[in-house]
Amino acid sequence: MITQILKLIWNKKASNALMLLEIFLAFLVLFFAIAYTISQMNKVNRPIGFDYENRAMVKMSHEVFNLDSTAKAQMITNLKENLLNDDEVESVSFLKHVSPFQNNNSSSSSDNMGFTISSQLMFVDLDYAKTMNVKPIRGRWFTEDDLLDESNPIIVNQQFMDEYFPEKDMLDSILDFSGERRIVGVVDEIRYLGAFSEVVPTLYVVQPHTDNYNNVVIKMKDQLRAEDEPRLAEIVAQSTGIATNILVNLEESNTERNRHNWIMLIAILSICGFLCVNVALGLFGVLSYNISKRKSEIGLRQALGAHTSDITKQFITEALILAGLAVVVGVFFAIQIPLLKVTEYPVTIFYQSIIYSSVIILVLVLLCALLPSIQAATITPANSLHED
Amino acid sequence: MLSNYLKMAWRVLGRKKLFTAISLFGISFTLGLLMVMLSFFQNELGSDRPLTHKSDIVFVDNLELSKVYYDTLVVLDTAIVDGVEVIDSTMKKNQTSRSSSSSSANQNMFIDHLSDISDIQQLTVYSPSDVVLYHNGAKVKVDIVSTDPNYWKVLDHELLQGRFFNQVDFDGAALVVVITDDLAEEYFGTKEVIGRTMELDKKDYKVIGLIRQTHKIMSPISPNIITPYTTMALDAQEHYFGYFTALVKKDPSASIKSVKEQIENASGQISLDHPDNNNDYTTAQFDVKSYDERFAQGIYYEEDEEKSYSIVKYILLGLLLFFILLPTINLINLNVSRIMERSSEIGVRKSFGADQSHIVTQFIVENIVLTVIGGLIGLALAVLLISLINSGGYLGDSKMVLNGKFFLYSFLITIVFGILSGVIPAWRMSKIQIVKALKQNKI
Repeated sequence: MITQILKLIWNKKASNALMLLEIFLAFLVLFFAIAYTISQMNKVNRPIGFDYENRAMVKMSHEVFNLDSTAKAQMITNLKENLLNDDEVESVSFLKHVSPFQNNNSSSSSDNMGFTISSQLMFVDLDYAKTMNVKPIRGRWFTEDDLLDESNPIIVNQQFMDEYFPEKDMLDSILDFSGERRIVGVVDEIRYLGAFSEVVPTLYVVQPHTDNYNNVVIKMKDQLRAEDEPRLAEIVAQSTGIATNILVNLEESNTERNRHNWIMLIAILSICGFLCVNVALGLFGVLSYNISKRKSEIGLRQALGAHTSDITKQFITEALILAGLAVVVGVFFAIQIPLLKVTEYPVTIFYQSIIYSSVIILVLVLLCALLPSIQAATITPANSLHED
Repeated sequence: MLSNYLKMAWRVLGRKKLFTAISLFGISFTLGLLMVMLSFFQNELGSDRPLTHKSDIVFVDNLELSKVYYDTLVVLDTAIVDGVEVIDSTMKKNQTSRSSSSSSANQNMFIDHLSDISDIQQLTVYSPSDVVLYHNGAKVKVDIVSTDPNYWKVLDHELLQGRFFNQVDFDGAALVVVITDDLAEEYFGTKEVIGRTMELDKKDYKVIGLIRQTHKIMSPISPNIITPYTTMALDAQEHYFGYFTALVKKDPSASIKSVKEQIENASGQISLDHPDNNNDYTTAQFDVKSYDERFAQGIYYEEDEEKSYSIVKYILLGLLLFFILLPTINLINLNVSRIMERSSEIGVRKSFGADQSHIVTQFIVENIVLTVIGGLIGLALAVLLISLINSGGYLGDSKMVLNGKFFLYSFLITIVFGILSGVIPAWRMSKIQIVKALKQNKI
């Protein structure tokens, strides 16, 4: 049966080649779109390592830098006191330029330990854990003593451990990484850029809050309401003497930041969906035309005693074999990406994507072939043989 | 002749309704999506206002101070060779390390070093900032650009009312602002705003000009408020770094490459003998790039902006090609089937003396009729989608355009698509031998 069908396909190789090419291209499009979706969804489903609801952040004006360092420290102390005096404010933490959902980043790399360690850095003060609900999974958060500690305490994320020190307990070990640094705690995630950000080695460096004068995050006792914002902005303006600070609601910043990624994902999926529907309709048209051209063949088979289900089966198998061939070619190309390790993305994404795309293509082709094949089976020999 | 073809095309399309519907679906969606992409890139990369001089604009973004030092790396390793432990050592000499700081710069860095370059017609420095204003209980987010009067000569904003600020306002640090019509509507609730005051940084600024809001993703081409930078509280001392970046309009006859070189050479003149240079940096370099290169770096960042530009260009072209290829093959497939059905008609025409080119023309005309109908539906879809995206603000600051050029390009895309997808089936059909064509229904 199969060999006969292959022969039938081979006999019409010119038009079948075009169909093959089309299914093959559709497979590749699906493969990339699904791989992208899986990798994005894997990121979205991971925690980001801190809370952002009911928290405001003030990005302080660059005019702050015109002050000298004692004036800056005095200003920050005042600001902290004034913010904490507000009835609604629960906790306040000061940060350097690297802060939640902002585009700034700081990174460092070093090969002093005999292999390259590179990591993102985030500079925080003691109250950051309390303000943003950060909980170390091993070890502890920074304490007052750490500020004076010569061994520069740091807290790293799990990815940092997995990448550089797998299966080792590094708590209280001192690293040679841009100077001496001692790991005092491990947190699961530090993804200050939000849900769509890559999971990369990142660490917290502690600094006294008077050294951090770029941004201040404020945790409210209850909700952060719209009317709280001008009041908080006014406190900051009064305490710093500068009015051009920017106050953002972190929940809104998070939504805003994720929105672009969701739009991108939805755009890619809808374009891909459109291409698939387009291909499916095209296949449906071509298949129904081809089958209607083979009426006499069908009539002859029926006259020789073939059951209607045999005829339906024949046409469906024919379409599926064609699609199967295209998918095999597609898989051959697609599998090169994980095999040759072209990208740094985990290989499982691509294997998953290959499976999903193959299944989708075969189901799609099956659906397209079903209706024309059933119609073909309803042809009676009297009708079709009469025509010739 | 042509009217005959057109009439015939119309009839044929009406006869096979299923095929026509399927083809039209594919064509209209493909062309519609292409038009949306076209509209986006036309807005971002076209030379509409304020980018009338786009091809002459060069961005001087950052100042980078760096030093390179040479390392000697020695690796010692022990290995067992033939049962004996040997020490294997490698020494790499002259391995370079580089350390650098890069930031927006002090305004005088640009003014002092770029003003004398002959191929630069206009030089403007600006400092962008985002600010939230609380006005009548509402929160208004604004993008402010603090700059000098040359800004108006580099970027061609459309003045609706009032005037731009000038050298006198600039030198006198006048508290004046030029705002956009959208902001006027949002902040004052009216467009009659000349002479009214606006509170920024606890100071009252007078509105002297109203410009039309532009919508470009790339900062700082589309600010809401433009004000002289002399009103900013700036440190009087000379530093390397500051809050400014520069925008340059070059002489149209000079090439981007030569202007880039001249600016890079000029950065060699920056004195490194300054108390701020406490890291002993040995090189100062401006980061210079054209509009398109800067745009490409926003999509895919590479240190070398030209590399970024070519990578982004090829990726986008590749994706576009892929996107067009699939519907084209689909349409070819459908066309081949559709035409095969009419083999007897072709056989008859051929036996009465029509030559190959006649038949090819006929089928291409037929296909163009189909794609133009699909293109019109696609256009309607695109217009709908674009207005939906614009009103929903899904692209942030960017707003897609619908103008004469857009319709012209859309029409061209449609025709090219029609010819592309019609030529192969038509040529294949025209080759059919008369005998075969007339003898139908072969198993």
